[in-house]
Amino acid sequence: MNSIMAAVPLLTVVVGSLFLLILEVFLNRENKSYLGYISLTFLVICGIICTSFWNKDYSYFNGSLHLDNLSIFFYIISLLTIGFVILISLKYLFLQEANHGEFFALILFALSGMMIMVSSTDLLIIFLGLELLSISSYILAGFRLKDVRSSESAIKYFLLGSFASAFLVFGMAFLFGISHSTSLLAIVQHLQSGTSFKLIGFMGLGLVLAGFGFKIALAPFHMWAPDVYEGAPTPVTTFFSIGPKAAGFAVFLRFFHIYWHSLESSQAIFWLLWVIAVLTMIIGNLAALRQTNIKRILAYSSIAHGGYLMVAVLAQDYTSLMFYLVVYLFMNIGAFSAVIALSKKNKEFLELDDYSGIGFQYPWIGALFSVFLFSLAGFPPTGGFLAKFYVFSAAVRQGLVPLVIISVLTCLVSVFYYLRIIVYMYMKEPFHTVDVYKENPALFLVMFLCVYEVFQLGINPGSILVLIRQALISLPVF
Amino acid sequence: MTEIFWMIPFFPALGSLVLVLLGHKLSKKHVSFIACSTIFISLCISVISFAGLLKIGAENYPLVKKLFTWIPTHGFKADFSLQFDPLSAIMVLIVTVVGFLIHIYSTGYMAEDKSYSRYFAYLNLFTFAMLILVMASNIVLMFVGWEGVGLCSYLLIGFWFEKHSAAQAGKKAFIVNRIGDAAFLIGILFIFFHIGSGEFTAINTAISRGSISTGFATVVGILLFAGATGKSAQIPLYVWLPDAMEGPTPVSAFIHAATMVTAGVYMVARMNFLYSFSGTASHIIAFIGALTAIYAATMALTQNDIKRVLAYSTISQIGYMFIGCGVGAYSAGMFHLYTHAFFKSLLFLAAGSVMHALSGEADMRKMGGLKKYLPITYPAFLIGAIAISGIPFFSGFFSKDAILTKAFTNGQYFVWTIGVLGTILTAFYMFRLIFLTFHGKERITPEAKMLLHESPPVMTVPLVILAFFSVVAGYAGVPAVFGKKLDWFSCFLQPIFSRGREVHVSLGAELALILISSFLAILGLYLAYLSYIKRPQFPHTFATRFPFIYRLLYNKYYVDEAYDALFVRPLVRGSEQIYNKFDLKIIDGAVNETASATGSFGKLICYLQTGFIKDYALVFLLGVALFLGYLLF
Repeated sequence: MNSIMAAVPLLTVVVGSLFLLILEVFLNRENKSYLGYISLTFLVICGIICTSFWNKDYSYFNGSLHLDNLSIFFYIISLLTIGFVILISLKYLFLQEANHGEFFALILFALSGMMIMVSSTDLLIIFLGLELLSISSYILAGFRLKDVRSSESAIKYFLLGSFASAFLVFGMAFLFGISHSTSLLAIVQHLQSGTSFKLIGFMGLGLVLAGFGFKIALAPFHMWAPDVYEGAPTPVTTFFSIGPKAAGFAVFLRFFHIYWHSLESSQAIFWLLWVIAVLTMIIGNLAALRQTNIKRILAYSSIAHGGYLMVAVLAQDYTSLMFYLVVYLFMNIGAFSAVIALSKKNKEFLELDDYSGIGFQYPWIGALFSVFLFSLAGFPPTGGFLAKFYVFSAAVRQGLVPLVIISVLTCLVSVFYYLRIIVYMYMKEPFHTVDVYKENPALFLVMFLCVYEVFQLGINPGSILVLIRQALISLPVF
Repeated sequence: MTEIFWMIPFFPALGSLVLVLLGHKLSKKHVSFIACSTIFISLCISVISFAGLLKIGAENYPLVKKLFTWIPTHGFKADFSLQFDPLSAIMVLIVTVVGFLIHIYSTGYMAEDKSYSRYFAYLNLFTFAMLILVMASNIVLMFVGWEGVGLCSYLLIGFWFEKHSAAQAGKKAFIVNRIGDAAFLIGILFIFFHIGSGEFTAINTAISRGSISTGFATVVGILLFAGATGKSAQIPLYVWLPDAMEGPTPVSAFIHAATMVTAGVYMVARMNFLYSFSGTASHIIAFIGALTAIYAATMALTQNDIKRVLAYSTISQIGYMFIGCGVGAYSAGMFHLYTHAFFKSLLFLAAGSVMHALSGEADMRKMGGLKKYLPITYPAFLIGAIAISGIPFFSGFFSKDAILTKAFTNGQYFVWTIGVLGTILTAFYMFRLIFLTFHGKERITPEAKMLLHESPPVMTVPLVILAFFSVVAGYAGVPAVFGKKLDWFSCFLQPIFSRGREVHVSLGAELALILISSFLAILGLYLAYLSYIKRPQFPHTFATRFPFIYRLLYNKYYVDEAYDALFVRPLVRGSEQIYNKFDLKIIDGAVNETASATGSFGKLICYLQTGFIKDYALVFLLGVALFLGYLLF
């Protein structure tokens, strides 16, 4: 049904961010954290609106903005991500003296970018969302004004991001050239029929894939990720590791669902993605082995998880893809929250040595962090295990046995660097005194929610799988 | 109100969770309150659900509550679902009632212990695991409880792990149980492979539809029973139970009476449709049960440790329960389980009270004449001993008699003969215990006598309650001799055991059988009286006259030594060899090489990560170039 209602959740967030921007001017420095609570209120309102649209299936702007179940599902994922990020940054911004009010407005802009991306089937609109997300991200990365590394991170992200966007637009121009349309469906249909423009079509597709590959940090377009993740404020890193990835995979989901079904000669692209997936898993996991900075370890780990998500795309099993994203959301936010928990005024403890003996000094942080690391490594009974299990078993059903063997082997490698953190926490003598700022209830709330979900998804995945299946109904049927 | 039955297991789980997380911060008072109240809530819900179960008709059994789909994969599905039917209900009541009393008793017994909250966390977890075991509606979830009680027993037997023998005993219990569990797991896999589901109702249907062969049922039955011999301490896997005495005494009471060892009997009763289908498996169960019953009874004759005597008596009594199940009289087996739960926990708690009074002394040679010092413990112990010996009109008499009568009427004369012989031995060793501990000359050390005192009320009140149950529990299943309609217990379980072989016997024959076994029980009592009160020098004379028999019994037939020489030591030595020759050199070598190769590859990738934007852009460009090159050519 064509109705302006389709844009309501998006508008809520945009209005929220503009409101915050205006309000920010009138608040003095001490009261800036109210902005966080106000933005959370907007998120809750948007969440309630979203759930009320479940199974309604609205669309607007000539069908370029869909509010189908799939969009709502990804809206909820985005809202959860942003909500958690806001909760974990409330104290952090204050402690690290990055308490500028624009933070919350920017993060809501980034959210609206994500929401545009996940709910559109039009390449141009998707690009619009992507840029909105990216530009907000560039600023967020440099938010610790006094820290040189934060600025370095912002500049690197900005330059390389613009570079990648250029390729993306270039590729889109090619695709528009052959199909005279920006709708995904039309583009795929023209790729299939227009044999004379096949090469141009492939070229466009390749460039677009490269552009998206950059955003979700797939090898060989991942180089920016570790540096940017390391320098950015930790809550922003948390956001980078999940938000753009979820949005990017939502676009992939919509695109490849059409693409795999309607193109007979998709072999070339398939093998291209196969190589990308393998490269991503190998590079992400192997490079993580040598890191000594927690944020860099988690950066490479998130690259590697992108590789596992690509396996799900290749297996054409979108249920497992979405399940993996949900689990990844909770376990990654949990892990980053534990990292944030270990910080004090103007100081974060990010080196592996800082973690020696933490398990006994701060038993709660140590235990929760261990659970998230076990989940990231894929141990039962955590959600991380089931997520990997579903992806790999779907891939095996598709006959992608060599791919699964490589994936499992890289998982094996990943166990080393995840467990190394636990070994440091529990089996090493404290290297030096680590005194953390403890009064951070919002952060612990996030950690407890995440740990609950990690176990809940690992033991009782049934209810979420039902939701995912309902969401996938809104994909076009062939 | 029966629908709320699914909540029963989760209160102890909650208690355990709270105690694990916050136990060290709570005072002992709060810890005891949390631990006992959670069990008490479960107990109340059990009683309510039980009352509800009595009201609804047998055609509605079993009530099943599916909490969630636990393992959803292609071709293999297991639900986390709990069920409630007469069999589960009885087990749940036993576990919660006895468990509750043991929790109360423990607050007194463990009052001085420094790991108070850890103890109750384990005890609550133990209750939770056992409740899951008896309420699971499929065999996979049952296995979770099965392993859970194994784990908790390990934790509790080795509770005082600073003591070497306790740590060893915990390890032994765990390893011996693992051997049985392996067989049990193989049995489960067979069931899944052939029937495709682990739900008990599905297995029952498959058997009644005739979709599996008798041979298959026999193999699965024996495999599952092998698991039961581990949990329920039957030949050949009984060796862990006597050593399990290293744990705190209330734990022994819990393991012996309500949880753990009864799991095997429950499992056989639950799978009765399988065992009724396979005569061979049933015969094996009856035979092993009879053998264990008499074998363990002979070992109990010569032990001097008060708890060890009780441990062997448990093994022997569980043997009787298996006789019942093996001859097709499942309700008789369950009936004995039910009465045994009361008198055995009574005996253990009373023994604990004796030890408490004597500052931890467990050697009966250093007791004697305690009757006048322990005015509550003594009568309680005496009631327990009378009940277990099968002396008429106490609970053990009814249940043991039900088993032996069924064995006889089903034509298992060999099993019956062993069973009644066991009755003499049971009465003899129990009253040997009574006479050595409470009667005769005082042999207490002077230091112990200084501190001699009756236990506090938290410990004696559970004793009194259990003593009451030990007297009256048997009247739930009065045999037909005394009136047609009095056997409520087996009527209640009838819907579950509809396939059991119930041959009815003439009242005269039944009366004769009852008289024989009662006579033998009293004979055993009299013999004990003769040997330990009338002529206290007689046992010594016997031991010197027949040193071989005495030493054989005293050293428990040297089975521990035999197992050690046959299995343990060769295994340890063999694995040492493999470790040195194969693991260190070949496996570790290969792993280390792979690891270092992987590591250096990771280093290589890190070299690419220069930090310069121009390099990153170059890599990006290179990637795009390769992309396009591949796609275009």
